[in-house]
Amino acid sequence: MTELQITDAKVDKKIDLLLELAPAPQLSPELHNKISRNLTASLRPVKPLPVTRVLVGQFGAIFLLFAAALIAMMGVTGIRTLDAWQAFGILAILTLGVLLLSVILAWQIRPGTKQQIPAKLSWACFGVGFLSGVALLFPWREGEAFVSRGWPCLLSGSAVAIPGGILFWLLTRRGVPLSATAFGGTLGAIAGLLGVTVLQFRCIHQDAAHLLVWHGGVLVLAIAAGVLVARVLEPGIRWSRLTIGGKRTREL
Amino acid sequence: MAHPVRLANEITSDFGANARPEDAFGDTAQRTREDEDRLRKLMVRYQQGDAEAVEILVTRLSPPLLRFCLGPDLSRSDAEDLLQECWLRIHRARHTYLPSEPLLPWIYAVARHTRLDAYRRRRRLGSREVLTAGPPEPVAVGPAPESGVMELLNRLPDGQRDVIVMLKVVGLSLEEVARATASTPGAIKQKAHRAYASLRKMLTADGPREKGML
Repeated sequence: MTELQITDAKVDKKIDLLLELAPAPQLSPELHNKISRNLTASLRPVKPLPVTRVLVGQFGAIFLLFAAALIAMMGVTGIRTLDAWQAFGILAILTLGVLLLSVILAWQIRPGTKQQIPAKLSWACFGVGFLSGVALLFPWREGEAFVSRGWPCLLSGSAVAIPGGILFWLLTRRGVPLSATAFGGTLGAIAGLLGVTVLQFRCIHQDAAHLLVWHGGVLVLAIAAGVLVARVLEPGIRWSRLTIGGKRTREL
Repeated sequence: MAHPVRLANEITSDFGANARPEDAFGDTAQRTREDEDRLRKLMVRYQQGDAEAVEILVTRLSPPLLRFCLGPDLSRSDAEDLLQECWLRIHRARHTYLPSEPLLPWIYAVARHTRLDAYRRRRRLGSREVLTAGPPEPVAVGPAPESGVMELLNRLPDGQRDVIVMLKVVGLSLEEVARATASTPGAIKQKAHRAYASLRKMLTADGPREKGML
């Protein structure tokens, strides 16, 4: 009968106590000295990574500059065909997207950061925002030559996304992303967004179906490519420059 | 090996119902605010290149990190190798620590991924290994000997084990564990709840003679 009276709370209390009392394993002096020696051998002052809002500002500014340069090169014929509401709406969606993805990227490159929105959820949020914004703002027209007009957009958007991805990868190189999937996907998303932004200014086919499939496709492709590349290169992208006392850690 | 439940009862009776575990042992699992501040200051000195700070941090953080590295499928020497790799990664990533943020979630985020990478590496190597006809005599290197409760923890899935070690052994808060695992406090709470349910089952299933002691 005693067994039946044991409550979960009582067992939990015992477990808590046992866990708190579990003795920590002791380190041998040799191991301790070896670790200390290895660390102090290459010890030099380092400049800490800037705070999140500074990183977000940097990413936003670089995005803006790069997008402006590409738009200047590729033209603005597309944005001229839009009315004021459409232009304001799509620019607001793109701006919010840049801000959101910059914040997520800044969180990704610093271990132990409080991530209020998981990376995958942020991609989904932006995707849903983009889809619903385009569906509401732009007209649904009968699609003539849907594929032949569409694939050049997919190609040129992807062509913009590739250098964009490389640029943001260079910008985040000082960081230490721990999740390859989240980091690669976010990097891909921000590069894809760059492609979508340039297309939005350039493309003259401003109807909902075209934008959703061919411009949205750039975003999907870029995220998928980002995840794939990061997973293939992992863990090299994180710890490739891991050197102690002039030696690569693999040599130690 | 003493059964965990019996051990807990003995300790409780020796030190009274209100005794705190740290009264019994010098080392405490519950961190104080001062402790946290001291660690942060040491980490800042480490970033500035102070060798003495490195020494203190290694002394202070290595035992709990080694505990974190010890797992069901690792020998003590493997865990020590992992600890070294962990420190090298901490060293490599030290510039990403922000002094205004808590230190331990940052440390354990790096440690957790070091362990995860080592696990993946072992799995990859294991899948490539080709067995020969006459293998040499196996060297008797089993898992590291552990105290009763840690043995129980090792039977949990990795994710749940990590959460319980960080929450209850290291003494991190729910939010800190969420930071270390890039998760949310709600998800951590759920994992801890599941882990406790499994531990409860294990305790009652493993020690039928001990049930009366609960």
